[in-house]
Amino acid sequence: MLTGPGYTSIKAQLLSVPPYAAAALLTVAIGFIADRTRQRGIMNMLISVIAMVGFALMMGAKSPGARYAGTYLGAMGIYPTISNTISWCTNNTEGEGCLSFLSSLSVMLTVSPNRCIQARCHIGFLHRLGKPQWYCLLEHLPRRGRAHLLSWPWYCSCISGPVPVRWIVGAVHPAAAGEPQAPAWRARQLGCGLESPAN
Amino acid sequence: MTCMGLVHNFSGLMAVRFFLGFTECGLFPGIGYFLSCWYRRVEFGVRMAIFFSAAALAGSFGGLLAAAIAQMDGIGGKAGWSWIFILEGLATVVIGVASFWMVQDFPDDANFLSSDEKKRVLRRLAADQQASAKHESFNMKYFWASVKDYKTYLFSIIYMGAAMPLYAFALFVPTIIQELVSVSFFASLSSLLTLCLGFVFRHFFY
Repeated sequence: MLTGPGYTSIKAQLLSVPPYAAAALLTVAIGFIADRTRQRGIMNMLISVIAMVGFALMMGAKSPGARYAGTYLGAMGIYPTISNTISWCTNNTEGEGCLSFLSSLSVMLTVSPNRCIQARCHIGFLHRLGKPQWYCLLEHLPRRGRAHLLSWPWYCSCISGPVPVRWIVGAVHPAAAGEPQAPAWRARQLGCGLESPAN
Repeated sequence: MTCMGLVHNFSGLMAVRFFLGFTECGLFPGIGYFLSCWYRRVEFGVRMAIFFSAAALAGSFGGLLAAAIAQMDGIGGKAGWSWIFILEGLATVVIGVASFWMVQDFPDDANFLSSDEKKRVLRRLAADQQASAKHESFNMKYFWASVKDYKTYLFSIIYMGAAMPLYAFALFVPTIIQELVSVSFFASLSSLLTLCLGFVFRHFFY
């Protein structure tokens, strides 16, 4: 068999294709299912479980093959959650006046800290390409396990987040169930029930 | 992004990264808002999913593309990694300029729809009680309403739950795969995988 750095790096690139491709397929599938069932919150919770299993494998499995299997589950758990959460958020702000501001704000609040991590990712990538000294500032990246362990609390928020959302809404609009045509009722059909009553 | 291929020192890199983040951050919420101006709520999820699956596909093939562009190492006195940023950045610039004409703000002034089609789109949106059925305009009170809304913060927490692992994942997948590639017995496993995929594709597409 062919060996050598060039061969292994192309092979490594090829191996990173299928997990992301599986994630892309599941993202669209979940979008479709969530539209049909109108249960975005529950979809989020289900997919997060897949992601947690994947991250557990990536974090703790001894064999490289099992860790690679974890990347499939991890990707399939992460990507659908993101688009699903955005859809959910947007569904519940449209038609009210706050509109895009709510979704921009929530994306802004969360993406900025993540950008720091992503910058690290880019610089780490340059470093792997064997670039000059000043790229190597972040040479001592945190260990894989540590970062994935850190992801767990966030996953818990992803899973438990929908619960208070539904609960608060239940508390705010208890009467909505009595008027089946009210927007709040429709919103509940969308799996969220966050929408305020008709104005 | 293109300029990132042209920097020569650390401060230059930080400066272009600042502007990259500054100009890029509006894209994702912007797309969400834009799609919501055109589709009903129950149609929105799959559209957003298709948009975001492009991010997953970029993760899928971006590495291969980068590996291919890195072969340009030395051309024009630029290193391979510079060419990655230059070429991928230029593609963004071209699409960005084209989108001035390609992207239509609201259904009621879209010039690619006939007046019948416009009416139909607007009626669908109005039936879904969406504000974009009437032409929207900027108003500072929307901004403050969203700052004061508890939903903003709840969704922020939920979205953090999805976004933090995303970046941890993107950061460590290369490491995990590198560990995998360096293990020799995996060579046979990967060819097995290829065979299985080949079987599945033949099964479904022939």
